[in-house]
Amino acid sequence: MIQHVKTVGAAAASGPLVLPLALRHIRRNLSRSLFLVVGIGLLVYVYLLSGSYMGRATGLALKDVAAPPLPADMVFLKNAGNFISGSKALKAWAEVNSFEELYIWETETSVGQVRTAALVTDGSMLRQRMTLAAGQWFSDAKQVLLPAGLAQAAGLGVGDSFHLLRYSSGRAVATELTVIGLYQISDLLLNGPILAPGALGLQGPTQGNTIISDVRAGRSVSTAARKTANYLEADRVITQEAAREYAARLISGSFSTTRQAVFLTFILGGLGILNIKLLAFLQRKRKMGILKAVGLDNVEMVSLLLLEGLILFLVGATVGATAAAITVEVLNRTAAEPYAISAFQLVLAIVLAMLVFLMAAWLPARLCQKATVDQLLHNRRVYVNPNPSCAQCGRCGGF
Amino acid sequence: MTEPILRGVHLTKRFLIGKGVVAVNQVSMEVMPGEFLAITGPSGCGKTTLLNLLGGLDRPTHGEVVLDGHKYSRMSENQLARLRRTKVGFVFQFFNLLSDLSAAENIALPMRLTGLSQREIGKRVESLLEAVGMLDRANHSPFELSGGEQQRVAIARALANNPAVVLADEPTGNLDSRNGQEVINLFRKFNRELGQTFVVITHDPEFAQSADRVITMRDGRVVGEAGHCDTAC
Repeated sequence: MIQHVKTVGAAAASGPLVLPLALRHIRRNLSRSLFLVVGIGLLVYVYLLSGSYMGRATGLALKDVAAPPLPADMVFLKNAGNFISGSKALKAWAEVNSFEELYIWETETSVGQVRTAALVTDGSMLRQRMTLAAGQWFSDAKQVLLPAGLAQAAGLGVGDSFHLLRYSSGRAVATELTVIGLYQISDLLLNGPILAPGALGLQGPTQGNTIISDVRAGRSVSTAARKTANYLEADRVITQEAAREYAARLISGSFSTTRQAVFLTFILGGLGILNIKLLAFLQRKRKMGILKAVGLDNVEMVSLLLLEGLILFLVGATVGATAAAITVEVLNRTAAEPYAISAFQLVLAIVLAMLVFLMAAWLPARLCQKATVDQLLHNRRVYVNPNPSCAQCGRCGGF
Repeated sequence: MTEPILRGVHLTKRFLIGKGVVAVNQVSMEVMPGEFLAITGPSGCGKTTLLNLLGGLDRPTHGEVVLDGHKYSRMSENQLARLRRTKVGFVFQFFNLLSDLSAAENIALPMRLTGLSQREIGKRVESLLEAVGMLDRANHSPFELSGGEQQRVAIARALANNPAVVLADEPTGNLDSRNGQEVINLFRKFNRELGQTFVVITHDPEFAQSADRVITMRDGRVVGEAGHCDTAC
């Protein structure tokens, strides 16, 4: 007989009253509800797409940075020239770490001055000689001579190329070097190798940075970097991993404007949503008054408002996230480098959007909580603080 | 001796408008169970404010309201709301039905707050709709009903939880004479047949004539009181 009572009563019998009331209100105010859903959806959409764009750009940049790593652990020094000239600390470090001596020498070659630094575990280099074991001397700045032992360990031969990370002008860049020759160093007197295998790093033209490697067996690159950094505070020590992290930070910093724009979007979106929620409250004062008069308590009233907001937020966030996922999918059909939405971005977008919505819903909920039935039913002003002094001041005008 | 169901003791309500307006000034009154009390007086004399104080819709600046043994001053807003849902029914001049809900749903609303089962609610709604002659309009929205019909639904809603007292603020004030008479008849019927206690604000002399007792207010004070019968007074 009374179908409507049964329809609504089913929900009332199994759960709180506020849910069916909230759903009913959303349905009856569909255009405004859709507007809020679109607003929230746009916030999430903009956030996810901008995050995806920034992530893709960072990935592309890091792809260059993340050149094929050298097989040997490498430590790069920002300014080897300074390091070499003021290397007392490193000398001390070399001694402490069982390297007997640090040798630095410069050699005039056909392509210019070659600076070499070596940590020597035994013997003397007073009368050393570099002899070409294979290949030829430098003919170009991007060429490099490797010690034969290191080349063997790295699986590199004459004519092979590899990428080397270099820190230059505040940016980590990868330089492609070609192995032009292999050399051996011999003691003129003993006529044998005087350096521990792998103790010598690369050497190359003085253009760019001189490279030192501590490639003793069993030492990881991070350990070597850390140990070196302990003695070289003034110099920057960069491993490949550190370079990637640094580059990521640099790229991330370059997106600060984008981030600010997204943040501003959230703030403005939040203000827009607050405005709509306040308007909705003002238009529903009478309805709120009726509900209060028939016995809804403050908790239920606030729950009603927040639940309405939560439903719209969930729908909006889902729509925004789905739209962003579809957009990324479409972009990936044509883009050489893929866009992606990370789970972290998704969670953060939802959390941020939820915060915006909760902040926007707080004021109407608070007003509704503090309003008397008389104020609501007769459209009288409501103040956030029910204290009489608030109404007496009245500067905010009430709502 | 029967205890009053509703009692106002030295009620004063001051509004902070300008230098302050005393809408209700030291009003004390008692309403007996089953009584039909009418409050009359010129516009702005404090009738509605007094009704709001009696119904717990507003807090007095001074004084105390006691409903069925419950002192309002000792109750929080939430406790007061829960008391209203079970002990007080309201009928307003402008009906104040929820437009989102049908007539039947409006009547069911206070019962759903009390946690009654769906079956009990359905039966009760049906009997109330029948009592106010609106059974055939159960599924109509308020905007599909005439003023008189809306007020009848509002009366049914006020009676939904068998309240201790029904407070009505000019229930015929927005109705034509025929619909107004129907509403008066309903009040009489529920008062006499069910022993429902009513406190009604009215400008309608005929309505006031139907009451057991009439209180007259002026400038926030009770200036006159007259009884029409001795049955429940």
